[in-house]
Amino acid sequence: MLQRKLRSAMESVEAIKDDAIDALVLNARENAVKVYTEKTADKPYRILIEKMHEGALMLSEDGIILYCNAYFALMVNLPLEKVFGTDLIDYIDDSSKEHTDKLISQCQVQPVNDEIIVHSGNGKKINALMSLNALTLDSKPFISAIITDLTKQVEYQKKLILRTKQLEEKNEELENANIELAFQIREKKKRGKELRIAKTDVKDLEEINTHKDSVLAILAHDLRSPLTGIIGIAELLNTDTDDLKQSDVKRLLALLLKESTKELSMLDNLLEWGRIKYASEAFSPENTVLTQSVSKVFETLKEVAANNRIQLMNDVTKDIIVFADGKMVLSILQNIVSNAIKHTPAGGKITVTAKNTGNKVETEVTDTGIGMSKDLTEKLFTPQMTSLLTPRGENKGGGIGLLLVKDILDKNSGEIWVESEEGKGSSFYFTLLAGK
Amino acid sequence: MKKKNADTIVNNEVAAGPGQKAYVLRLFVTGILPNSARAIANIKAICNQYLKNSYELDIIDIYQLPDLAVSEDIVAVPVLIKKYPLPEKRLIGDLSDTDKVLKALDLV
Repeated sequence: MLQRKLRSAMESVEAIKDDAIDALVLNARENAVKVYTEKTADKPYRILIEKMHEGALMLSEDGIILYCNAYFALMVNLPLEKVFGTDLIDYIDDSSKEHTDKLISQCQVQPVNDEIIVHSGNGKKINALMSLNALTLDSKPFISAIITDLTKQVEYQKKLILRTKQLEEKNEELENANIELAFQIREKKKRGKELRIAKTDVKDLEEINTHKDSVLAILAHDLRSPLTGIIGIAELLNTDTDDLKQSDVKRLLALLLKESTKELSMLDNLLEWGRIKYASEAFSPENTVLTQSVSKVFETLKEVAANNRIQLMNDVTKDIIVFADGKMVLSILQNIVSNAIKHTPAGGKITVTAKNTGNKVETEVTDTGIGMSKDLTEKLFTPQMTSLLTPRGENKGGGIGLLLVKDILDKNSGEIWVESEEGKGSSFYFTLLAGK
Repeated sequence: MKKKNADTIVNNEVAAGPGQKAYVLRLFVTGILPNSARAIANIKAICNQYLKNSYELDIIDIYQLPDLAVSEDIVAVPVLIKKYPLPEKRLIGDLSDTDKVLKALDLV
């Protein structure tokens, strides 16, 4: 009987083990059975939990691990069978123990999640996010826990912070470099400006030098020539005194007078030029009636003009007023007109006219003289005019005169230019500020 | 059989080598199903009370560690297997009957 019972029992067990059955039938209660079959709908969910790359646990109310997945066992570096049934708190780092206990109590009220540090079996510490949820299964209370390894995130964060710091440092370096660079650029610009000024100064000095050389050349020529004549005549009178006829003596003395006067005039010109150039206090502009200045100049030159049978015409109207130094206006006119006289053949005419243009007065001195080439007109008011204008007859010089005129006009904010046609005549134009 | 009290049980180092625990137990469970959960709680309580530190307990989830289940010839779970001290004994169920458990552990 016993053997038969045993055999029957063993056969049942064999059938079950051989997977020859589909379900087990259990007597749950009176008139009710429980059926256990392998094919459940829960399998996919179980696989999910078993295979996920996060730690998944089921804890008792007190935090005992009733179930955990392979990933968690891996995290704490222990075989699965050793983790089941142990305390979760055993795997929490001391620094997070208190916090974890708190979370375990808090999750009874509502699900919680927070960062904790898991203490792995081999001494490693793992930054992790623990998510707890209290739930009930078959009226029994449990706590589900998901533990996510945050190591990578923490690493990335650290890297990010480091990178940010590096970037900030680089930024600061760049800013400093920028400031340095901006400073250097400013310095360079300043240097450049200084250089340009220096270059201009050099140019000016070179011009002045050339000017100076030309002026000296002109001076030498203009001042010496009359004196050469004077000395020559004086020598003649001195050596041949007894041999000379009265008429000759008279003639020579007249020549002497003329040359001396010319020399004086040259010196006056030079002094005037010097005054203009170097004595800046001697400059007092005032309202000057131009036609009166012209009259004065004509008065001075009428004899020379008459000697050459040249007509002087003052066509400047009484209303033309210039604002300039009176003496300077006379000098300008004197030099230009006397220059015109020198270059106009007998029977010619010199006319002076003027007109208002904006805030300036433009004066024109036209002659019916021999005229000048284009080349000459261009060189006329520059220091390059050393041996200027081949003068007629004995009337040499005139170079200083025109330089003087140019300098005067520069000082009075005026301009001068000339239009000429060889054989026909020249027109000298100059501008001065208009007066009231 | 003579009833042994808890104290004498602690001093029972029979069949255990140096460093080894006297009792080697294996509990096979099915994940988090109710009987399994109860079995775990119960065996822990009994071990803490009667075996103190002289036991080694492996709790094996047959889903995650099926090979062990096969090697032990498991028919139904949960089941507690006493490997040592010999003889090997098995108890199927949720282990809520403490006397039955103690019998299986040869503690009565």
